[in-house]
Amino acid sequence: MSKLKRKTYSIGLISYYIGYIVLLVASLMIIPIITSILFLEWNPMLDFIISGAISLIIGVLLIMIGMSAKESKSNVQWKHGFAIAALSWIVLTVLCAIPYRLSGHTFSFLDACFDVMSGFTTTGLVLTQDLDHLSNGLNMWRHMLTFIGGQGMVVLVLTLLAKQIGGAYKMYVGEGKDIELVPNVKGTARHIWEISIVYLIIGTMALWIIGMLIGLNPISAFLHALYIFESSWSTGGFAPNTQNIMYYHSVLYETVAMAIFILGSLNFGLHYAIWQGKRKEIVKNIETQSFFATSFVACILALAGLAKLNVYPDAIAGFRRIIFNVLSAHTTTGFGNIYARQFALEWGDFGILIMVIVMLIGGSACSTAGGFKGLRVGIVFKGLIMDVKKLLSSERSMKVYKYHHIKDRILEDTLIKSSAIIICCYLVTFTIGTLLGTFYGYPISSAAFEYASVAGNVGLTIGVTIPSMPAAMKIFYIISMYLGRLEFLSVFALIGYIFGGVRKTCINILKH
Amino acid sequence: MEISKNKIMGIVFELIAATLYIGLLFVAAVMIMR
Repeated sequence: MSKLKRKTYSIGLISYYIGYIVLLVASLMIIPIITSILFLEWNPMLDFIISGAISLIIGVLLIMIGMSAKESKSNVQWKHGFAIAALSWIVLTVLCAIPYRLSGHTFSFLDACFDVMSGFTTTGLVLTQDLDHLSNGLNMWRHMLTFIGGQGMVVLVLTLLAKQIGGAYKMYVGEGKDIELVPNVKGTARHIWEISIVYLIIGTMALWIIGMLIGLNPISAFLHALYIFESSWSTGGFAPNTQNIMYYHSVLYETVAMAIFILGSLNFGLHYAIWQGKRKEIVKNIETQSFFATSFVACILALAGLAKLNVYPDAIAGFRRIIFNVLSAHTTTGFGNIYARQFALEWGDFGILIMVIVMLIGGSACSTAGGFKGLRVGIVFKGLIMDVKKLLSSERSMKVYKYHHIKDRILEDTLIKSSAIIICCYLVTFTIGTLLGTFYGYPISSAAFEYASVAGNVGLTIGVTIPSMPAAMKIFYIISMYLGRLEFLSVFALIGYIFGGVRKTCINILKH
Repeated sequence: MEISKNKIMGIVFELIAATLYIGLLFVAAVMIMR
């Protein structure tokens, strides 16, 4: 096959699958349309009809462009899988931002894209204005996006597919997930959604009952329960009110949300193993060991640090404000039950530093959480111990080092290296993001806190993320959320793919 | 979606584990902030 033909082939294939993903996700706009009709919100309904129509047209066009490549039964290679996953997130962000912009609750289309990327990546930072008066349709859309984003767009599409498609696993990996619950990827995707839907029912019911107990009317309590569940499980952090989780003034509501986001931040593989009767997995798994160790130490240090500052008067207040926020940061949820500026004014440098560290670590791999993940922290830590042991042992001894993650696995140097590289990528972008914040005049602690929240897909804010922040920071934050969620690799592969194509084209032009 | 005893027990186990962890952190808060 000629080079040009192969290139057209690749573009067609990528276009076909992106069109497919766009079509399926855009068809979900039917849910906010129905919600708007039920609540007699005609303008939001029109916003969603317009957005849905635009998305459907673009989806169909992309499929038509790629139809010939698909019919030729060409294989989806790794580069295609990564490019499909990475590009579909960009296309969907732009399309899903249309109803935000049409609603008039954002100052610009950039702000709308920021909020959609924040939702998809389960970050939870908000530039949308006047959240308390948002229509039910738009609120439903915001929380749906974060719920879908948590599980992954590709995972959703694979779940809805009638039959297995070739190269599906490559797209699945391209979205930052790598665990196989069952031997085929479509089955894995369905199990991921099964786990989420089961908890959706349990969590929404629990929050609905508590909502009614604290005085919300049944319909409002149900909607709030649904939204808060979707945000908690997806470790998103969106809430239907400006005051976030503080709005409910309920320790019970906060505790149930806390339990949901802890469970949401765990690996889907771990949930599946426990549901298969392997209960010991929760203590044996390197990821849960890592998460419980780092989160426990962080909570203790934050409690000790803030007790010294006398910020909170008693243990109940300490539990509600410190433990909740540290766990919210560590699981990368981003629910906050104190005002943004209280972090800067009351928590002190020590408290802020603890929050920055836990936000960067994040939750589990193959979960809804962000950050560089407990699994990588555990692997690098074990790798360090392995190296020390090797140094101390006899030169002749040959020992295989293992770690447990769903099953016993060999701790190989390549795995330690790839884990360390991803951690380095996060730290490099964290440094750049913090530098950018300080360049625009924010104090270093605020810039570091906000950027750790962005890179780790957390969503807690110290007051930097507001509509009047510089556009360059908004764009950099959007890119960072995207990079953080797809764990760099897919985006780098996409950039490499594009640059490779451009380079080859330039060389060909110069040759002729 | 099939419902099995293992699944139900698994969900109950996870909920209890999360509650116990939150409880442990509450005890830690009481110990440190009293």
